[in-house]
Amino acid sequence: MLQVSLISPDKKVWTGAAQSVTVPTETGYIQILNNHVPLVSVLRAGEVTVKGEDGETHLFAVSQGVLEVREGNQVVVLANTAEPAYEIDAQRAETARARAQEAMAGKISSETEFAAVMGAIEKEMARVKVAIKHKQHR
Amino acid sequence: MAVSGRVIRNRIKSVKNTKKITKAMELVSAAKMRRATASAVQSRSYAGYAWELLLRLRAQAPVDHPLFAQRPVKKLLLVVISSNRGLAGGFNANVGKKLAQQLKNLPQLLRSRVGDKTVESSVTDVEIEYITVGKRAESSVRKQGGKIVASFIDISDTPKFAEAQPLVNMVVQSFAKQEYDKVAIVYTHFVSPLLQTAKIRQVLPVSEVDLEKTLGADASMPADHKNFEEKFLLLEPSAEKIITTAVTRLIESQVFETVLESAASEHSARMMAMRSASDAATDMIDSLTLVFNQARQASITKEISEISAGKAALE
Repeated sequence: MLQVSLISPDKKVWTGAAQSVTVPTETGYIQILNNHVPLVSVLRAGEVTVKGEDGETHLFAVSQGVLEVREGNQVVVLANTAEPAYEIDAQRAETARARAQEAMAGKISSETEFAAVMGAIEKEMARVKVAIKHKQHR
Repeated sequence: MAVSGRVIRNRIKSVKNTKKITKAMELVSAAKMRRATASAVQSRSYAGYAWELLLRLRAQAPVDHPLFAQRPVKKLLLVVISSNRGLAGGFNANVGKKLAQQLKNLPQLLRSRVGDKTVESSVTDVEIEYITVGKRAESSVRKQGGKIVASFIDISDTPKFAEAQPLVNMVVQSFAKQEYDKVAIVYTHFVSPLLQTAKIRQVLPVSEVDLEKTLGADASMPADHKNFEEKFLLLEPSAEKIITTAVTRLIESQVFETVLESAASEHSARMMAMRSASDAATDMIDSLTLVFNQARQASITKEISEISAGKAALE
């Protein structure tokens, strides 16, 4: 069994035992199962899927952060923002995404600003996706 | 009768109203303080993990990163954190005092520490710029004639990470671009609800001593962090990218922690100030009631003596 902690600066979002964890990283989505080698990777905005001990899946929308797999089946996900699917209001996420894209359409002066806006769009896309998935599951 | 009874009664009424308000503010601050301290504890675990990760990475490969770069300090950035509102006892004044005291002791202020190494810098031609958090910090820095490059006044009473992020980004990016040679934060450390002390901490270049002091000897911190063995560790996509991310996370959580501590300190300072205001109001009501009763008694005595005097005159 994996020991998973999903942590944002505001709070510990989820901790517990899990069968598998799927995480979006810079190099693509990866799934972590038992006895994974120690690994450190950079997160990107997307959805984290945790398959709990009892086989129940938990969905989270995350933005940038770090994934750490330690010896002894410990998985630590440090994310700037992490929201469980049931907390995301699909409508509000959608408007936030629209706002981010609007900002994109407007003037963008520097490279860093561009990166920031892109990050915001990615994050909101991930939230919308997770919220919609959660709705369908219910 | 020296003072009219009605005047005293009005006075008592107004003091009672004030007491109601201070009492309510005390309770509100107490609730906010509890929330702020709880989130400070929560965010410490994040910081602890980020710190541990960095130490683990350092055991793998020497960390050579722009955010660790030690330079003689020519340009200093000071982040001053206080509150948006007053009525918090000495909270804002103490931050201002700490800042003034630090500015008097320039050589120490300009010392840049990384690990065991410290770099001293010459005191002459140093430029100091400020980022302020809270309206009170802004006005106190302005009064001292400091140059403010940014002022954050929209951070709420119970700060969320998203609100502190613009501040964090600004600090990290400007240091990475070498706009500043050192970044330090003046904030209020939350010791207990009764005691808060203004402190200054070096944020960048990354300093272990200051990190540990800010985050405290918490249970979530690795106990013996100096001995991480070199073990096999897969790094994706590259060590450099991961170190950048991990260091940024760490700085973020350190800055966020100071914001949270300041918020907790503000609320507890306000709570204590309001409690003593309520106590003072209670004392005042007591002594005013005493004066009122004396005045009432005096007027009754006077009336009786007037009546009996009048009767005596008739007889």
